[in-house]
Amino acid sequence: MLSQIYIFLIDYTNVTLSVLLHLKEFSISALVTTTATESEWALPEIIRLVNTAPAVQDVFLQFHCHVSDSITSLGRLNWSLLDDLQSNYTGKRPRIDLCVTGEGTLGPTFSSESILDALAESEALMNLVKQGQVILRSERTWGY
Amino acid sequence: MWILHWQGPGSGCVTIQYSTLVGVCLLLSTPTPTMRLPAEVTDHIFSFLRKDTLALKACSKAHPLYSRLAERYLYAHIVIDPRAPEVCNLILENPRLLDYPRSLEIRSFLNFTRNPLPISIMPMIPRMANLVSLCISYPCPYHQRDEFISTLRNCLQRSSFQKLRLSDIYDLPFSILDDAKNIKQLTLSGGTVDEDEPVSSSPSAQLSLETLVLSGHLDADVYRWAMRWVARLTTLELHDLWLDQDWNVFPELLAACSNSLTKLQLDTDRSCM
Repeated sequence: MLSQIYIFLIDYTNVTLSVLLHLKEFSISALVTTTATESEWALPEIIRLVNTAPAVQDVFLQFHCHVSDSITSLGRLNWSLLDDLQSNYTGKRPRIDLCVTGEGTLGPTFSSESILDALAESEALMNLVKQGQVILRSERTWGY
Repeated sequence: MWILHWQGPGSGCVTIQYSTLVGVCLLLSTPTPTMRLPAEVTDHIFSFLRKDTLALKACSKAHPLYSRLAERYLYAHIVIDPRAPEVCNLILENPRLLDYPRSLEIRSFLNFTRNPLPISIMPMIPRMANLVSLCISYPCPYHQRDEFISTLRNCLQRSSFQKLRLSDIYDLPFSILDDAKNIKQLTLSGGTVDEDEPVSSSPSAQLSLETLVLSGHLDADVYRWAMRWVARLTTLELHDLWLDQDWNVFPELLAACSNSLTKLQLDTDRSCM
């Protein structure tokens, strides 16, 4: 559902950020579902949208897990797509603040540490973190 | 945890533990020549209790001086709710309290009974000199709509608050927002536009927003009205996006604020999460 919103917004309405010449910060949220292939929908669309912003410096991505099974999906996401973020006319690649949140009501096993452990399985993502291109955080949230 | 460290002119340092703050106030509730704290110190202590309404109320009952000092914190953030009409009545009966509110929330709930609270409190809003933020949520049943709109129009024209949030207000004639020249941050959550009022194509001469927050299900005409106010917009936030909205108007909104926008936030419907 959430991924469909971005596909609809970005593909069907041809939304781009190209007209926003002064845009410095871009924030976007999406859901990590239990099905990795479905979750992967959102990331390519988001990357495509960010790459249309001519001067963006900071990109804040929030991915939210609301069921326990979605943690295991995290490591399977194709995080190397974040490496596709291109340099814009400022000559710099935007900084990526990646925050994965999990529903705190799911119990103590669903913790910030377990989220980070799941993400650590993605070698591509860890490489981006080591290179300083991605700042990685995780938080437990208590209901929306 | 030590939370208060105060040094006044010619006096020593004062450090007070939070858990003892209320106790200190109550101990000094019958000030003697040797125990009386300067009013500015007491006021500073009360400022640490601004989120602890129960403690502030307890202090305010301890001594008339404390009652006056606590008022500005007790009435800094006011919620007008039909389930607790005493707050509204207290303000209406004590005009001196109008100086204290910095934020005012007028809320209601879906019913079909007449709700006089929003209509009665709104004429007082222009007299709230320190009001920064006003939030109105589903204020009244439909048969009170004309009276509410008229009161809201007058309120927006005469008030100086900078943040306005309107939630679940239906058939709103958006032209009344054109006159809200002091508003820098506008949040529209749910609601619809008055179908009888055509969207003007010319930019608003008055309203010039810095931050616009659009949330929940809003019809396309809301976006079209918003385009008139965004020539100087720096922050655009879209929360709780819905798939079945008419997104074709979104690129037009981005284009309308392209010369000034520096921050953009897109959040999907959290109820889906």
